[in-house]
Amino acid sequence: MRVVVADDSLLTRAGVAYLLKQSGYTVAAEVDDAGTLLAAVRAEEPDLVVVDIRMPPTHTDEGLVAAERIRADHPRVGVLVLSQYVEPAYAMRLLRDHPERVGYLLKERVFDQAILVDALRRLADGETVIDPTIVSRLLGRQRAKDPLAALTAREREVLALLAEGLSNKAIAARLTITERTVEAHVAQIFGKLGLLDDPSSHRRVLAVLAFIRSGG
Amino acid sequence: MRVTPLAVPLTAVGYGFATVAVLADVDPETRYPVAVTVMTALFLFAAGAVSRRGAAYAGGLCWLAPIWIAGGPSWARSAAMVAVPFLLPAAAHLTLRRPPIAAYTITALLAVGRTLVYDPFYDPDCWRLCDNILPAFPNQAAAEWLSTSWAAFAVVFGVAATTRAIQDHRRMTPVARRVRGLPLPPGAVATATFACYGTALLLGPAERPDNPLYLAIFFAQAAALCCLAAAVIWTTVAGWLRRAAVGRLADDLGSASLQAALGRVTGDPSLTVAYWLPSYGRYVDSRGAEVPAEPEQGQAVTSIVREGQPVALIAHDPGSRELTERIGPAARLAIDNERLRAEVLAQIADLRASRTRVVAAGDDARRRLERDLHDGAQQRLLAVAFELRLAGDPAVDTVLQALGELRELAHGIFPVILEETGIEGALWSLADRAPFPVEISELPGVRFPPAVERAVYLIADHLAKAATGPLNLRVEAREDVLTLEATGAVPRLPGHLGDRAGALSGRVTATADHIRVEIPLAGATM
Repeated sequence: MRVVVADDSLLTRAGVAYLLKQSGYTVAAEVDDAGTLLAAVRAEEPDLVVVDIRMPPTHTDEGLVAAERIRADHPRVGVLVLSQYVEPAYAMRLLRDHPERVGYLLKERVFDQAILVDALRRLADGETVIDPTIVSRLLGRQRAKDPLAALTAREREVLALLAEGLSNKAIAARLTITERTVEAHVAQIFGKLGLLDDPSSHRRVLAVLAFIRSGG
Repeated sequence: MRVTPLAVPLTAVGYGFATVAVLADVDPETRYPVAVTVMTALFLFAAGAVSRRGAAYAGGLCWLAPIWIAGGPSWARSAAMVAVPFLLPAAAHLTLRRPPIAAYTITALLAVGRTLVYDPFYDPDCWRLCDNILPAFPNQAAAEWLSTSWAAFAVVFGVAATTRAIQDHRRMTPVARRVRGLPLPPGAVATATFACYGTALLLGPAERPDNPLYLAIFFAQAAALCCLAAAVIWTTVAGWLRRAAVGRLADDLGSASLQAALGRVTGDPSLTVAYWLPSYGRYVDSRGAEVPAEPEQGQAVTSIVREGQPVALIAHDPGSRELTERIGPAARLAIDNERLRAEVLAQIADLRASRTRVVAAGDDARRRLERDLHDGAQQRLLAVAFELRLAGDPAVDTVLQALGELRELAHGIFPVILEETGIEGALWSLADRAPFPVEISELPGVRFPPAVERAVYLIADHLAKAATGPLNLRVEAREDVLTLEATGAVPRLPGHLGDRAGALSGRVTATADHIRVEIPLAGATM
């Protein structure tokens, strides 16, 4: 697997590259701004891109813009956006137009080799990756009327994993239950919350995030 | 109304002649032209009476002159022979502002000269003024030569005056056209008919009253002169009324601004009033906003000066100069009032601008601090966490916790999400972090000026964090006003947040369980 790493901070760039090499990935290019990143993606045709959300010149959302460009122009390339912001709005913006093969993780999390490798593998499989901190922030919000109260404890667990972007198969493995049971849980959750999206589509992550953000 | 005393007896004489003309035993075929002629003369008399222009009397007399042949004495008919040719310069005089002195002189020389040498007895074509008590040196050839010269002069001068009138009219601004442009079109037609008459005399058949060519020229001339007289009267009376309105300006002002009132009475919508503020060394409008001292292209400026000090500048259409020059004395009190008010408003605007700058400087400092934290301390802690994790040191969890706390601190200092996604994303993010339930019932998905977004966010942030129970937030943009409404366990709003709204000309209204912040969107740039 070939990966391009983009971050203006040398530490993150070198750290992520180091971990990737340790895990058997090939680092095709290391760049420090969005323009060079897009050029590197065109030249190297990598399988995956790891990009910092905040890069020169404006230090705002260059990483997100670049991710959207890459997803639009190179649909086969998975993009993992690294950030120091626990902001659901960023994650949802990333999912809005291209809900598959994208991920949003906090920087400190990818320094855990297992998490980084797992995230990249899921992206390569066509899944979505959303940082658990963001999901728990959304699920933990104070609500006057909690629409999630109707869910059982197990269903809440499944909902959290759905929101993190896990597939039914991955959820089954994580909770050590069968995939059929997961499917049943997902159908229950969608029914109880009144979600109309197809529970099997890639859009379900965005639908679940949108619901738990504003449905309470 | 001041009317030249001459006007009354002259008008009376005009009526007398008209009555004689209508009642007298004249040829029925000429009665109609005679009546039109009398009306024209009366109009010109009236115009002369109201405008006090000698040319109008001269014109009126000229047109009455031919009527005298119905029964007037010999001396009058002889005098008419001198007077009639003066009608052309008189019409040109009424139309154009500068009197055509040369035309009067040439006309005088030709008319008097011809009268001195003309003896109707030797003229086979005489049909009108066939009577002359003045021929001192009868000479038929010289008389004919002078007649031809007059006809040629009528063509040349008629064409010149018509062209001038058309050019003047075309060059006038709309305001000037309204103020004094009305007599120009009928004047141009009238002088053009003289050119036609001269051409007919030079090239056409001998003049006879029953000749259709001369009859047509006569009617056209009579109609144009009637219109000219009416236009002169109208222009003069309208001018009086406008001047009177300017004079009464201070009484009529009411609640309207001086600029609006002046624009109305002068009929010049482009008129602007700028007040000089000596303490600021600049001109401002009535709302206190600075305006340039130089007028716009095509505008004239009237300066109001008192005791050597400039007081106000009135920029206006060049066509309304005569009126604006009367403004100074008429609106002295109004100008002083508005100037004082403008000065106070200018001071308020300055204060508001400085408050806005203070707020903006504070925001910039917070933005920088957030950036420094993100790029400095947070990066360094990340590095430490990375090293510790590689080394398998359990202290990594403490560092990660510190990193999380630092992140929340940075978010509190300046929420980057607000800058990137606007109020919508930032308020949801706020609800995620709030200690009590914060419901958001309405949020605009569009962006607003950054200063407005920051003010709304910071106020909402305080409300969410200081609330003592559940809160409902609503943000709505309507008619250029952004409204934030909070209901529920609403805390008190500290002064510096009220200042933020105030710096944007906003308004905060609060009750025990409700707070409403309104911020106008127009003009908020920061």
